[in-house]
Amino acid sequence: MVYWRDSFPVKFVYSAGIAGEKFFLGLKEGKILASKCDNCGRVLVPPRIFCEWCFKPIEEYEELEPRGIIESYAISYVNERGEKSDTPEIFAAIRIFGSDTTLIHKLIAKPEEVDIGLEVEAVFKPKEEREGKITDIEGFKLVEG
Amino acid sequence: MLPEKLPGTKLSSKELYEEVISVWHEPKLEYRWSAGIAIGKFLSGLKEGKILASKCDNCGRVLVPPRIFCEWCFRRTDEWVEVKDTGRVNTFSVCYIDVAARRVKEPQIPAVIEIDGSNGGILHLLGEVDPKEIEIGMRVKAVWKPKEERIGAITDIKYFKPL
Repeated sequence: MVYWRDSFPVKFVYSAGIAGEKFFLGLKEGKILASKCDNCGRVLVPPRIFCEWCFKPIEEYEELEPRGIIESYAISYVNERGEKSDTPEIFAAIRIFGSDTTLIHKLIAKPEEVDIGLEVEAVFKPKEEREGKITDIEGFKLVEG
Repeated sequence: MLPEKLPGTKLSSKELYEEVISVWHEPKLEYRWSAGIAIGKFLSGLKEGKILASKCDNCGRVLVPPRIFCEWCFRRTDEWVEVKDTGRVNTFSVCYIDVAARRVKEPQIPAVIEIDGSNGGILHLLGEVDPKEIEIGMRVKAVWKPKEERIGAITDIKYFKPL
């Protein structure tokens, strides 16, 4: 069969934004930063520069303990290319204590151990390996007991 | 609203590329598109230095580029025929910009060539000709790439030159 074959060259660069930048630089320091709306009092992780409930700018930031609970999770037996994999990856929506939103990240746990409502703690990479990315957190591990 | 009056934080290229945290990505967007039965055969023919056409026995038309159906009779075409690599200029355009819209000194001359012995025509280029001397109806002939350079593409014909 005769066919045409080609590719579309597409490149993009996308800034993390004001709140995103603060959040990523915080991760580099091993901190989880949140922004707080002084109107409704909600605490947002990852932080945003506006409250979509009050439609007002947010200027207040605070540091939260790198712990939270599993609000929801999914066990994935396929990798990012859609290939089957025997070692599942677990992705969870984690509500950091003191915040009103969830952060999506990986769980470092066995599928049978995971449940909604369990307490987890962030596992940061060693300081010298952190680069201001979401992957500066390797994942969240279950807090014993 | 003028861009400078829009809300948000303006970033210079230097800031965006070098100073702030940003996400870089280059999606790999590849495609493969089948030429289909008729055009596949046509392109394979070009590789052999032949122009292949399909013929409808109902209306008698010889189609170049070939199709597997006759859109006049709404039925399958019946046979393959080889046609000559000569023809006449049906229409042409003298183009002083290239594909990237840059000005060029030597114009490209796209033209529709009515292929002899067929009822169709192909869009190709004219070459070895002074743009001022081109006329509609002018006789032309295909200039082929050497056999070893042909890959089964429309560019296996370099251009058409006056006969």
